[in-house]
Amino acid sequence: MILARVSMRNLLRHPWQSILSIVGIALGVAVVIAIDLTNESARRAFKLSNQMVAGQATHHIIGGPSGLDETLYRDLRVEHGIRGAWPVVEGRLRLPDHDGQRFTVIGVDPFAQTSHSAIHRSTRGLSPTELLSVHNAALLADDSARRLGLTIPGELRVHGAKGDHRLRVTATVSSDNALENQALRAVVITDISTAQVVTGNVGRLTRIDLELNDPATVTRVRGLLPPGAELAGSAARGNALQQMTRAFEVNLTALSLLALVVGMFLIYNTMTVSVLQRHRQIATLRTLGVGDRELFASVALEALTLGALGVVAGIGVGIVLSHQLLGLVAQTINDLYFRLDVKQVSVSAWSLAKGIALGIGATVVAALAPALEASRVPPQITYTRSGQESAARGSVGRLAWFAIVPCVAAAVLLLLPGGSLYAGFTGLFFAIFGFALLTPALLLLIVRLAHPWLARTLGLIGRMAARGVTESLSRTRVTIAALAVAVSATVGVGIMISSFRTTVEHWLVNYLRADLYVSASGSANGVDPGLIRRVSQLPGVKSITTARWTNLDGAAGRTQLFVLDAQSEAFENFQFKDGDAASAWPRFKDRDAVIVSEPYAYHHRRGVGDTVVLRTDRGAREFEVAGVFYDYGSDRGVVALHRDTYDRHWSDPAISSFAVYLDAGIDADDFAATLQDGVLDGTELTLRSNRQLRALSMDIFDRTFAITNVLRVLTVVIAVIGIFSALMSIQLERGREFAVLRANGFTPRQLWALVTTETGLLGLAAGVLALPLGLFLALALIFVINRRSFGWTMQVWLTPEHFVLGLVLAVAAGLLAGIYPALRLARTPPSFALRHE
Amino acid sequence: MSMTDGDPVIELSDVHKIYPDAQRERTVLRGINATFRRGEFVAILGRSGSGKSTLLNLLGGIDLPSGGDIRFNGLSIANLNERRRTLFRREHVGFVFQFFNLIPTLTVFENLLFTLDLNGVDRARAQRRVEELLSRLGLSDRGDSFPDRLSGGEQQRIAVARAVAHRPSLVLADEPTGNLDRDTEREVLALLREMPKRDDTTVIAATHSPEVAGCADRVMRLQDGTLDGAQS
Ligand SMILES: Nc1ncnc2c1ncn2[C@@H]1O[C@H](COP(=O)(O)OP(=O)(O)OP(=O)(O)O)[C@@H](O)[C@H]1O
Ligand SMILES: [Mg+2]
Repeated sequence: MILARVSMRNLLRHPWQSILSIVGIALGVAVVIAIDLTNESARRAFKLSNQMVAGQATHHIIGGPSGLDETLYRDLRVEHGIRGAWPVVEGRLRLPDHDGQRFTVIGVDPFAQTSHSAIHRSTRGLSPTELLSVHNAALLADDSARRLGLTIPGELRVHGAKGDHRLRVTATVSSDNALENQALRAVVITDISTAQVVTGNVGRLTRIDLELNDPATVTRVRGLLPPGAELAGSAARGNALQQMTRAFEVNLTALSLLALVVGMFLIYNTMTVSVLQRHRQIATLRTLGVGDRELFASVALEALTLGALGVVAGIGVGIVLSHQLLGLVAQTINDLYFRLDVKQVSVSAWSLAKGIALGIGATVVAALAPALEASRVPPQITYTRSGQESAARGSVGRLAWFAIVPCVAAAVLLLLPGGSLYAGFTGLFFAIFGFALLTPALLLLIVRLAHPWLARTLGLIGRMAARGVTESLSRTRVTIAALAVAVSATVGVGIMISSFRTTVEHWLVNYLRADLYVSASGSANGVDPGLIRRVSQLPGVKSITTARWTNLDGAAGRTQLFVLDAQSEAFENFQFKDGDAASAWPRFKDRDAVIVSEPYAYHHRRGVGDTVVLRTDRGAREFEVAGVFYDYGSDRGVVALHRDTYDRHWSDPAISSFAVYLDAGIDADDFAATLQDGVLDGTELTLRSNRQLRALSMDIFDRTFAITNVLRVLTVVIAVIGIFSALMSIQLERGREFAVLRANGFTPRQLWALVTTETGLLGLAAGVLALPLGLFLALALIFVINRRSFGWTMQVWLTPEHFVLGLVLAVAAGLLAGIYPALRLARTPPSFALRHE
Repeated sequence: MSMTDGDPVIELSDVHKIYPDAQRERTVLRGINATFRRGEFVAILGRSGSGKSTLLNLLGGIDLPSGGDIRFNGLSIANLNERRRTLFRREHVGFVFQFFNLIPTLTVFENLLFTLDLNGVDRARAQRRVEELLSRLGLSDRGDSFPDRLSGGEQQRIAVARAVAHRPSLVLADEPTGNLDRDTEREVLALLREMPKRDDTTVIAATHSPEVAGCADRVMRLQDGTLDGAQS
C-alpha cells in the first residue's frame, strides 16, 4: 500500500533523526540485554560449577567450620550400608615454585570414586592404584601440567596449612568436555589422606556427597547424623547460595531498565515531533479519505520500523557490551559473595527474547500517543504551528494535575514500611513518570524566571530565545523530561555512591583501629597460634586481637560468622545501631550472646533481645542477640561472637587473622618492616597497615560501583542523543522563520547566537529540573532501595560537585545540540529556505 | 446511480455553520439552500472571510454543519460517523486546494496512484489510469519527480488530475488558481473544466477569480451567510 511508502519515506527524509532514534533505542536495548546476559552468565557459571561439583550427588552432609569426622563416612558405608556416598576433602594451596599460584586440592576415595563429574569422568581410565601406589600421589589436568611445565611422573611442591609438601604427580587427566576441563584447570587431585595432610585437617572431611533416591533413606541418613552435621539437598543448597547475589542483580537490572526508559522517551519524542511537523501532510491525507485507523497504523509502523532496527542493533551491541560488563560483575561477585570462575558470556535465547520484547514493547508504548495524535488530525488544512503550541500550553496544567496520580503511587510504594525491593523500584519509576508530567509546567516557570535576566544580558536575542523555548513546548517537553531524568539519575546515583563511600570511610576509621593487620587471606589454612604468641612478645606490642571468619553452611543458606578474641577495648570498635557496647560486652564475653550486623538484623528481622539459631558442633542452639552493629562488609550480614563462646560450641581452633595494637610512640611502618622480616617471612600471611587495609577496602568498594558508573554514563549518552535529535529537528523545522530573519538583516552570527542561546536555555532548564529530582532519587536510593536490597543505612552526604556536574552536563548537551543546526542554518542562503516550504 | 444528466448530486437545506469564537459565537453560514447537479461546473464567489472554504468543507464531509441537512445522492452526510464520512470522501470526492495538495514524500506518479490505491483499484489498472492522466497533462516524463521539483502550475495540474483520478462524483476546488499567473491559471482551469466533464463529475469551485467565474456553468455568490445565484 502506498501509505506504507509515505511512512518509509518520512523516515528516509530525516535520516539523521531516524538514525539517532535507532541509536537511542539500540543503546537502551543493548544495556538491558547486556545486563541480563551478564547476570545470566554468572548464574549459569554458578549453576554449572555447582552441578559439576555435585555430579550425581543429590545431597551433601555438611559439618561445622572444621568439617566432619571421617568416621562418619566409614559408619555410613560399612555399618549402615549406604552405597552412594563419597567423601570429599577440599582445600586451598599455593605452588611456591610457580609464582605462588593458587590451586584447589580435592581429595577423593580412589575406590569409592567421586561424584564430582569432571573428576569422575576424567579419571575413569585410571586404576585406583594410580593414587595409592605411591606416597603423596597426585593427579593434574593435562592443561595444568603443560602450563606448569611438569614432566610426568614428576614432583610438585605445594604449600598448605602446615608448610610445604612434595606431591608426586603420577598421571595427568583430561575430559573431552571443555567445561569440565575448565573446572579442572587449577585442581590437584589426591587421595583423602594426602589431602587431609596437605590441608592440615587430619581425620576430617570437608563434606560427604550422597546419592539418595528414596525418601526413606534420606530420613534414615538424617537420623544417623552427629549433632554438628546437617543434610542438605544439593539443588536447594545451590539456590540458597545463589540468592546471595539476587539484590545485586536486581539493582543492575533496574538501572538497565532506566536506560531503556530514557530510550523510550527518545522514540516518543521523535515520533511526536514528526507527527506535529507533518500535520499538514496528514490533513491532506485525511481529505483524500485516509481513515484514522490507517493513520494510526502508519505512524505506529514508522515507530516500529525504528524500534525494530534499534532492537536488532541493540542485540549486537548488547552482546559486545556484555563481554565488557562480565568482568566487572564477576569481580564484584568474587569480592563480595563467593568464588566464581566466569569468563564466558553465554548468550541465551531467552535473554535476547526478553530484550527484543522489551525494546519492541517500549517502542509500541512510546508510539501510542503520537499515533493517536496523528489519527485525530482533522482533515482541515488549517495548520498553524502556533495553534499546536497553544494546545500544548493548554495541556500543561492538566498534565501537572495528572502527575498527582503517579506521585501518590510512588509515595505509597516507597514509604509503606515492609515493602519489597520490587515495590521500591516500581515506586521510583512512578516518581520519575510523575516528574516527567510536571516538566512542562516547571519548564515554563523557569523560562519565565530567566526571561528578565536573558533580556538584560542578551537583549533582543535573549527575549527571542526565551520565546522560542515556550513556543516549541510541544516538541521539547519530552526531550527536556528525558534529559532531566537521565541527568537526575546520574546526580542521584552519584550522591548515593558518594554518601555510601563517605559512610564506609567513616565507619572504617572507627572499625579499623589496630595499627597492623595480618591475615591468612584466601586460604582456610589459618594463622599458627605460635606465631601470634611470638608477635605478642615483641617489644612495642600493646595488644593483639584475633579473628576467625567462617561460614556455617546449611540447607537454608550461609551464615557468616565473625569470631573475635578481644578485650573490651577492641569491642568499642563496633558502632552500635541497637544496644550499646557497655551493656552488650559482659553478655558477649561470658554469656553466649552474639551481636549481629545491621544487614543480618534486617534480613532476618532480629533485634536486641531476640535470638538467632546457629548449628553448633553439638547441634542447633539459640543465641541471644545483645546488639546490632553497623557493618558494610557483607550485605547478607554477619553474626559476631566471642572466641570463648565459639570455643564452647565449636571445636575449630583456626584463626583467620590478627590485629596488632602498638604502644603509643611506636612507628607502625618501622614495626611492620621488623614484623615482616623477622616473623612473617616465608609464611603465606599478608601484612597490611591500617592505611593499606582501608585503601584496599575502598578499592573493593569502588570496584563494586564500577558497573553502576558504566550504566550511568550510558544512560546520559542516550539522553544526550535524544536532546540532540529533538533540538536539531526543531531548529531545522524553523528554516523559514530564520530565513525571514536573515532576509530582514539578521547576521549569521546573530542567528547562531539565537539558536545556541535557545538550546542552551533548554539544557539549563533540564539541568535545573534535574537537581531536585536527583536529590529525591538519591534519598530514595539511600533510604529505600539500598535498605531493601542490602539492609544497611548510610548517612547522606551532600556535596555541591554532583549538582554542578549535572548542571554542566545538561547545559553542555543543550549547547552541543544547537551547534549543528546553527551551523547549517547560518550557511543556508535565505532565498533557498524561503522558496522551499 | 441515475445516469440522467442534470440529476441532483448534492442538496443543501437550511445549512448553518456557527464557529465558537473567543467570546461569542460566529455565525458564518445562516441558512443555505442549494442544489448542485451532475456534471455542472459551479463557481462560488465571495469576499474573503465570507465562508467559501467553510461551505466546501461541509460539502466534502470534512466538517459538520451546526444545523440543516446536506444530502449526497439522497444520503444525509451530516448523519454519518467519522469513519463513514472518510469512506465517503475517499470514494466520491476529489479536492483541489490552493496549496499543499500533494504528499511531499511521494513521487508525482505515486501521488496520482494514491486515491486509486485507497479505493482498492487493482495495481495494473491503476497504473494505466495514471499513465493516461499524466500524458493528458503532458507531464509523462515527470512521473518519478517529487512534488517539490515541480513548478506551482505543474503541481496544481497534478492536483487536478489526482482529484479526478478515481472518477469521483464531486470535485471541490478551493481557490485552485489562487497563486498562479494568468497563463498558468488558464491551463489549470481548462483541465478543471475538461477532465471532470468526461465522467460527468460535478465541480464546485470557490474563487475570487473572474477568470474562473467566467467559464462556470453557474455562478453563486456567498454573502452575509447566504448563497444566492441564478439556477442554471
Ligand atoms: N475553525 C474556525 N474557528 C473559528 N472561526 C473560523 C474557523 N474557520 C473559519 N472561521 C471563520 O469563518 C469565517 C469564514 O472563513 P472561511 O475560511 O470559510 O472564509 P473564506 O470565504 O474561505 O475566506 P478566504 O477567501 O479568505 O479564503 C472567517 O471569518 C473565519 O475567521
Ligand atoms: Mg478560503
